[in-house]
Amino acid sequence: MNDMDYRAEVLSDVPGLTDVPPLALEELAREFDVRDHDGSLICTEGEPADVLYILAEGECEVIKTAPNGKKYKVAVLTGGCLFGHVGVMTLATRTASVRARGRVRTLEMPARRARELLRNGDFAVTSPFRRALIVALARQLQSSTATTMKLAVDAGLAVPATNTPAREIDPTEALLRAQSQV
Amino acid sequence: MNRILFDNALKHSTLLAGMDAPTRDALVTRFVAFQFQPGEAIIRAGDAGRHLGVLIDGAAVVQARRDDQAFTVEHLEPGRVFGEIAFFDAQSPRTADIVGTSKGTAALLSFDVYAELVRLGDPGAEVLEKNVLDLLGRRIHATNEKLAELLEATRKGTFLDTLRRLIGGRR
Repeated sequence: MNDMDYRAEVLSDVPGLTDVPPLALEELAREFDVRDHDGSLICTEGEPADVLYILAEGECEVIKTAPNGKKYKVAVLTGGCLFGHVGVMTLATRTASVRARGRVRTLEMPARRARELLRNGDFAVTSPFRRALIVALARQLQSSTATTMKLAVDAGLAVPATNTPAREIDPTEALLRAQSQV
Repeated sequence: MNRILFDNALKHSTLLAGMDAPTRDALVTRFVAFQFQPGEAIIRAGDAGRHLGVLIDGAAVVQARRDDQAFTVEHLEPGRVFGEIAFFDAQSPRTADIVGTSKGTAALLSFDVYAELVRLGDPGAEVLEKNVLDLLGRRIHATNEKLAELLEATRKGTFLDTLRRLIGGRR
């Protein structure tokens, strides 16, 4: 398999890109570079979100710092996962760190190039790219909403209300997980 | 609501913002007006249909299930876009109900119509995607601010009060 075929095959597993015609996937694949990591930090919480990533092979840990300084492992990323997308949309800094679990391969695109592509790129390429970003953002929102709801239910605050009084819970880890969009 | 009022409200929604008039007017005709009653589901969890929706008038809530009980997780007001995940992600089933809390009208666009626009290279499809992406970016930003506020509240010991305020829950 040549490098282009490899990148296109990785993209074909990304949620939102699964039903995209092969030619459009190949065009989009040209925009990504392949990079290998070995147990290293791929991106760091608090630093500029200047690269968009797709996890091609291996697993990564998402690590988030609580307000008290304690670090929590809040998620594990697996193949086909798109991350770093919030930076493409909002010019934000990383909200969490991502560390490779052993050997990991990623597809990477500079966030600036991603924004340029979304603004001026050919529709056949940008349409599937936008769809993948929409799905990643929407899933993240869905997960954050579910976390907030779970906390509200656990605390006895959610609608429909029960007759039990509101109770103290420890929400730190769940909130960090919901916030870790790197 | 009659079709003229419906079309007019839809034309001014954020979902169709930035389209040239001919593109926008043609796209508006492809939306179906769904009239709903209080308690009636506009979209149900597990539905196979792929529709992108805009609440035109009335009010609705997003309800998610936990332990066989439905909980309201979000209140929707006119102009709010919904159904993005299942619409753009063929592999993602609907995970929540959207239920009317008053009489109202929702505008629904089927995925087949969108797919046809994409196939034809219709500029409406591109603007639609851009607008959904912008809306989600703004919602992510707002959600992040809420999560950061909740995290800070855990440090200050005011988590319950903050959560109660943010979700509009009971005292």
